[in-house]
Amino acid sequence: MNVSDYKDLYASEAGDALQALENGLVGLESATEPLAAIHELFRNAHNLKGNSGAMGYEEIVEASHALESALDGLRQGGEITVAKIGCMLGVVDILKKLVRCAVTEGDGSGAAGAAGTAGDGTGAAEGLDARPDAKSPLSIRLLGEALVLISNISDEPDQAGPVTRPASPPETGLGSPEGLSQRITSTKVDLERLDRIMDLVGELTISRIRFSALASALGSKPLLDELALSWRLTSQIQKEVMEARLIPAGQVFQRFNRLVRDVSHETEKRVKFEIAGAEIGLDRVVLESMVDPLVHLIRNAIDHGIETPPERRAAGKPEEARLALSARRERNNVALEVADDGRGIDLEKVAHAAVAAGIAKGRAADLTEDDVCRIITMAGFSTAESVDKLSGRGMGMNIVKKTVDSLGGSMHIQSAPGKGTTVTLLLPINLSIIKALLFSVGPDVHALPIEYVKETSRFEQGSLKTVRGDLVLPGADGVVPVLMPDDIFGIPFESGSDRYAKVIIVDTGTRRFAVVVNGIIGQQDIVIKALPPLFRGLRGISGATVLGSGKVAFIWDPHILFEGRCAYESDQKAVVSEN
Amino acid sequence: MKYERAYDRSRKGEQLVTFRLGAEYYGIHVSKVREILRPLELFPVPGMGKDIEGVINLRGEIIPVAKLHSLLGIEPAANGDAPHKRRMIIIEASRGSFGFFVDEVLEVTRIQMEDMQAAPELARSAGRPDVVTGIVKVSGRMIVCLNSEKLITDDVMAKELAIGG
Repeated sequence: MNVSDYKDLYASEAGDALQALENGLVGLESATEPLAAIHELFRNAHNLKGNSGAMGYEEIVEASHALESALDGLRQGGEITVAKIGCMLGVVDILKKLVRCAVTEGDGSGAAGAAGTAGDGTGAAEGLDARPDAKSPLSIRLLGEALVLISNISDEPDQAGPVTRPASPPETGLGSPEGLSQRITSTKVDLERLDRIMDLVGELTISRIRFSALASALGSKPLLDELALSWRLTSQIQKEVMEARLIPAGQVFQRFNRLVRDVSHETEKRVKFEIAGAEIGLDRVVLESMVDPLVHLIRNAIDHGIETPPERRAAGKPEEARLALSARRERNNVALEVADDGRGIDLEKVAHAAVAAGIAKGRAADLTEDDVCRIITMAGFSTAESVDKLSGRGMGMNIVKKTVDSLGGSMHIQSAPGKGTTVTLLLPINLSIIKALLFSVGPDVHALPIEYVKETSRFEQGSLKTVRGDLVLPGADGVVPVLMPDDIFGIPFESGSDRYAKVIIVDTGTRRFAVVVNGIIGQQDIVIKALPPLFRGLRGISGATVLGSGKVAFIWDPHILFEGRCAYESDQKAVVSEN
Repeated sequence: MKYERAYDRSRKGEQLVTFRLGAEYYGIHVSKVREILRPLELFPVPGMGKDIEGVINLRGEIIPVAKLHSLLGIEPAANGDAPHKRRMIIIEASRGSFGFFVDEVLEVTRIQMEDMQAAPELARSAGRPDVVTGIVKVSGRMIVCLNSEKLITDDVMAKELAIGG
């Protein structure tokens, strides 16, 4: 998805909102429950304002804000008159033109942009994005008209009259009546329906896997060839549906304009908020669950990261701080980033406090930047009050990390003293189909998302060493703590009589450990099925999948698996040096 | 306790699915029973407690399977039952579907509400009195009527999930 796709989406949504406004206003003349209708109108105007704000279309924001105020007047008990409705309909017409100006601009800005005299009303207005100062005369003029119309509403004495539009908008050359000749280029699809399609594609994938198992068993070349084609088609459908389900990050990003404004006012800081990558698509579930973490990160950045204007002046920085919220695509992931140019995290202080609180062992000076960032996001550290005061970034970081982890993502913190902090959340684009390593424990099959699998290996039975009572596996680059399935989930484990035992080396990005298993089945695309509602709260298992054989395999969540086993982790350095 | 009546007012009475677990007979309102199945392959859930036996794959849907005797707080029946009579009952509950094994499904029978008696203290499950709605006599058998909504409660699940953590 690129910027123009995003514009299309905006145009479609704005079009819907305007259509709803128009229908609602027309219906208001004879509404039996006018208050509910006004409320609905208000909501539509508000949505339009929000979406336009996210796109940076200031005139539309102002015009829809004016409409909102007029509606609010009605909501507060103002009399509903035909004249008022007529004025508002006029504003809706102007809004339509403004929207059209906004979405067509940029497409032809090369031709019209140079002189900045797009006043001929053909809609080829100068690019607002490129030069925010140089407003398009047309859109300015339209905005003026809208504001005049709205001012009529408040001043004009209420009068009943014929159903006409008293202030019919002046011709602007964009064609009238508005909207009748627009081509339909996109459609809205219920997310639930897309989810159902996605489910069906999932079932198709499962059936595809079964087919291929059958074909392999039969060994029929023509059948296998034909299946290969159908595989490709299924993958393509899968890809298309998955793309269709993605939602632009901007839909959530736009909500933060207000938050930044409010928090910076509260804390008396000056913040310039920048949004980038609003058009990047994410899975709905991922995007929705990122709202709270982003609120937290942004709040943190303004509260603690960014200095007050005097402090910034003293440090030789511009008084207005920069806070950037961005999304970008990184292969199969989306990176969401909150970056500020504030004071940064005092790593030294965090390290000292962590050692003092007994969270980290060894000397503070020995901890690397990575260690410190890991400590910040550790459970328990967040409540360490002294550290919270020092760093201001303890509280809640653990929750942000947990949310990210639960989605199979990862969190990275970069900080330079005096220069600022950047928190990056790396998230999967979609949650429905993943690559996983299948392995067996006893008669059952389990799955581990492939990104956590460092390698699979084997060791001679009885060759495991014990360090401080914990089993470890000696490897090329140090020792790895060993987990037995019965340790983890209480799955009964028989290691068997083979000379070698099989092991998966799991790497969560911050931790490494070895899980002993009975057999390694191989890598496969699996369709994630939600766990039954009754299992909400089950820990260590992120989902389940139905295999080609009809067996159910549970998908392990290695972050949780290792939780509570921090002893291994903090000892790891000690262990290495002991060896 | 009031029994839910949500269907078929054309004829008087309520319909129960009756089944046997060990030597005891039970009934559950027919509207709460989603399906009765021959036993499907059961997949144990890593980290679950003793009340949940595992899950089944019901045409692509993953459904938890509970141990009914464990939910009722009674001893498991001695084995030796005819295995070919074993069935799985899938319940539609507001908190989500779940199933359990029974030793035999008897019939769908119509009962009159006025025939329902309060369960004597002994017939009530240990610690779970709300599970039993009453007792009714059908063709010479004492049927213990169960409230399927109360079989798996938040408390039960909290206990199950805690074990895994």
